[in-house]
Amino acid sequence: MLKETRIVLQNVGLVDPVSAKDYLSRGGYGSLRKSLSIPPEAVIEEIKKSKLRGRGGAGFPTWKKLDISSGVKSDQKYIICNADEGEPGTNKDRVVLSNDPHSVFEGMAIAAYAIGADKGFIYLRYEYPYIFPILKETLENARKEGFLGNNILGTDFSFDIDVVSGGDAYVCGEETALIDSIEGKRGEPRFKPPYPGVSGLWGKPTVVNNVETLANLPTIMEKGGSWFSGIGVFNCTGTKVFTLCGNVAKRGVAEYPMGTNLKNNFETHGGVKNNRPLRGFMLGGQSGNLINASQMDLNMDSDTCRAANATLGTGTIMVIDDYNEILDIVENIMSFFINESCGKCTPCREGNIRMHEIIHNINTGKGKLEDLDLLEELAETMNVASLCALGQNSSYPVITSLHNFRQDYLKAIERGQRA
Amino acid sequence: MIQLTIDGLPIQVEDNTTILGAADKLKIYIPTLCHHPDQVVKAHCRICLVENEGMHTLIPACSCTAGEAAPVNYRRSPRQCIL
Repeated sequence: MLKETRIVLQNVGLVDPVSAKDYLSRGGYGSLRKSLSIPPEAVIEEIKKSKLRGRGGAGFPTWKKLDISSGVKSDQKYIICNADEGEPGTNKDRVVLSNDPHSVFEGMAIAAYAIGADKGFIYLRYEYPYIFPILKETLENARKEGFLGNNILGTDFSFDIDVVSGGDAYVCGEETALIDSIEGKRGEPRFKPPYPGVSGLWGKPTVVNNVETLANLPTIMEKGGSWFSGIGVFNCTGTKVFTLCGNVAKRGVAEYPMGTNLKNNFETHGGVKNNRPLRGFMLGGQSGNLINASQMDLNMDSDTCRAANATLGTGTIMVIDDYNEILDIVENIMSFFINESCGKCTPCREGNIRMHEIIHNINTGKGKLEDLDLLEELAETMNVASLCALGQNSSYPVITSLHNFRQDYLKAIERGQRA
Repeated sequence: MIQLTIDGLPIQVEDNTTILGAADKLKIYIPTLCHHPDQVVKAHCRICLVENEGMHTLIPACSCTAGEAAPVNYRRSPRQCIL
């Protein structure tokens, strides 16, 4: 049985989400006060010591993002909190934002101070309309207490946050598409470079961070970077909020140190629902990897997962029992990507449709053995040629299911040929 | 001026020249579709992708400037898959 280590979720369920007084009584905004008393470079240095990496899926070192933007000279800089939690099956940001929004605002203020930004945006997912009023009220309360607005805590640092609603687009979780969306344009990824850290929102240096990443910052500043780097594994420190979904007995969100064993995690949550046999897992959301039950003994941190051809991604663990057909799942995922591809670049726009077509054919008994090689080739092309991470990663479920569940494909093809 | 190698051939180009421009000087033909000198380049069509040594993904020659590129391989690019 695993015990939770709560950093991001430390206040969840213990405070009234909107109340600044409740948050203060739990030691809230102390880290902001502490950060404002030291120079911005020292704040970045502390975050560097913590080795915190982005929690949105890519795992880019947070301090590097801040460092790049702080080095750029500009009259205006922005902090954006990416709350467009589009990855199906992921619920971590929703839990943080609806239960402890102050910690996210505090994290944003600390990051803003570190790079010299005075304006922040929260890009809230369209499907979370009930969080909108919570954030509005929380912002109002934080302003009243003087933690946001002009001259925060008597210093000459000013910072304010606006909530922007997304428009129900998966691709807007990509940082440059998100920026386009805030600017009022159609949400399409931009060509990089220039990276948002240099030229982002309205051409100004912009740091885009995930909700969970920002919610880690107050604790890092309070307890120190070296304390934080003591949790988790060497290159992947701190905790991760995992979402367990699918055919698992106890679904929900739980926070464990990085590198927590998947098997342990899964068993702590009661194993497969109704004690059915386990088939496999879908890790890291829809653009993640499908692994089979025998690969379950896996330590969940970015590097180990990558080495084992799995993904940590957003920390989603979807459990699949024997009631499901793998091909149905993959076909469903590909139809999702057809819907969500923005259509800007050719490999993603065309590739997803073709891939879905081939899998649909195999699944309905019209497949050929050569189709499997074609799928691999197509996946490789999309992976190297697409403009953004959507196209680059959308083939992962296909590729990994081809490797880990090849029997399912072969059986479906054979069934079709016999008929 | 920036020193650049395309398919093993060295060339010197001005800063901010694209890989496409540099290849042009070397008389290496890279096909394009969405690129036009009068347009703001957005790298949509991915026809001009080239291999940038040491990078996992391919880069569009029309939008990447020579300064950002390590030795570039054009002939090895798996463009055939896209076409």
